Amino acid sequence: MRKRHICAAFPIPAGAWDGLQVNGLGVILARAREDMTLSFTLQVFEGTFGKSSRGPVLEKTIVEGVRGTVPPRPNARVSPDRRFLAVELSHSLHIFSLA
Amino acid sequence: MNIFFPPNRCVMKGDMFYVLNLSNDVSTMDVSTMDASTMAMYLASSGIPIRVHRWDSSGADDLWLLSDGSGGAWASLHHIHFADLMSVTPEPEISFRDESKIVIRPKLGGLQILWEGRRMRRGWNVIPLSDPRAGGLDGVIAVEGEEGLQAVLAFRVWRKRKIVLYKPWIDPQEFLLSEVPMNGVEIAYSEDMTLMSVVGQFEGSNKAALFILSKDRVSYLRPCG
Repeated sequence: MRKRHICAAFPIPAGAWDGLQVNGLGVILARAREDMTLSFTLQVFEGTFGKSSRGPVLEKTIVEGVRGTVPPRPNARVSPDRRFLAVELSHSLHIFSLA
Repeated sequence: MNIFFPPNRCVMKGDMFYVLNLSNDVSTMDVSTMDASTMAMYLASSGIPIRVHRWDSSGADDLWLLSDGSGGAWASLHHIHFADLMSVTPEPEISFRDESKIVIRPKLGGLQILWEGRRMRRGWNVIPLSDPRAGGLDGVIAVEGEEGLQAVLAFRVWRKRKIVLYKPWIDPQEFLLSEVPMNGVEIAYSEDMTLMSVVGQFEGSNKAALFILSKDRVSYLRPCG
C-alpha cells in the first residue's frame, strides 16, 4: 500500500544524540503515498553486534507532501554535519533540513 | 548523480558540477527550479570523483577528481577547492596524516595506495581504472582515522555495482553489500573509532548497515530495513 525505500543512512556516534548512549545508525526512509506525494522519515537504531529485531529508538517525520517519484535506486545523502538531506528524485533535486 | 558536502556547500556532479551554498534557514528547497545566480554551475571535466574523509571534527568532504586522461594524456589527479568560485588544481598525490599517500601509477594502470608511505609487493594496493573481472572504476572513498589512512573503498561497475575494500597487508576484498552508490556510504568518528554506514543490497533487498572500521579489521554491527 505504502511502499518505502531506504534512501540514505548515517552513523551516529554514542552520545551525539539524546537518548542514544551507544553508537547507532540513522536511516532515512522515503514513503510513497496514495495521493502521489512522498514523505521522508528518520529512524534511529542502536548499533548492536549481530542481527537484532529491535525496532527504532526514535522516529521523526522530516517532510511530507513532496511531489515526485522515487527512482528505483534512490539517490540521497545526509550532510556530514547531519543538518541537511539532499535527495534526487526522478525529475527534481531537493534539499531538506534535518534539524 | 553524486552528492558531495564540502564545508557549508552541497555539490552535485552529473554532466556539470552544481554548487549550492547551504544556509541555516533552509527547511526545504527544490534545487531543480533554482536560477544560475543561486546555484553556481561548472562544466565538469570528465573524471572519477574521490571523496576523502579527513580526521577532523567537521567530517566535510575533501573532494578530488581523477581525470580519465581522454585525448591521449594519461590520467591525472586534481584537488577541487570551493572558495567564492570552484577551482581545480592538479596535484601529484593525496596525502594523509600517517604519511600514507594515494598516487597515480600509469605503469600499473591506475591508482596506488602507499600505506604509511611504503610501497608493498603484489597487487594489494593497486586500484586499476579498468579491470576485466571487476569492471570500470566509478568512484573512490578514502577514510582517514586517528592513526591515518584506514581504508579505501573503490566503487566498480560491470554487470552490477560493487565496492572493493582496500586495507593494508590483505588482499582487496569485495564488500558485503552490493549495488552501493557513492552516496550510500557515510563516515563518523566516535572517540577513537571510525564508524561507517552503508546503504545497498543485501540478500536481495535494500538495507542499511553499520560497520566499525579499524586499520586491521571491519566489524559488522547491524542491518536495518
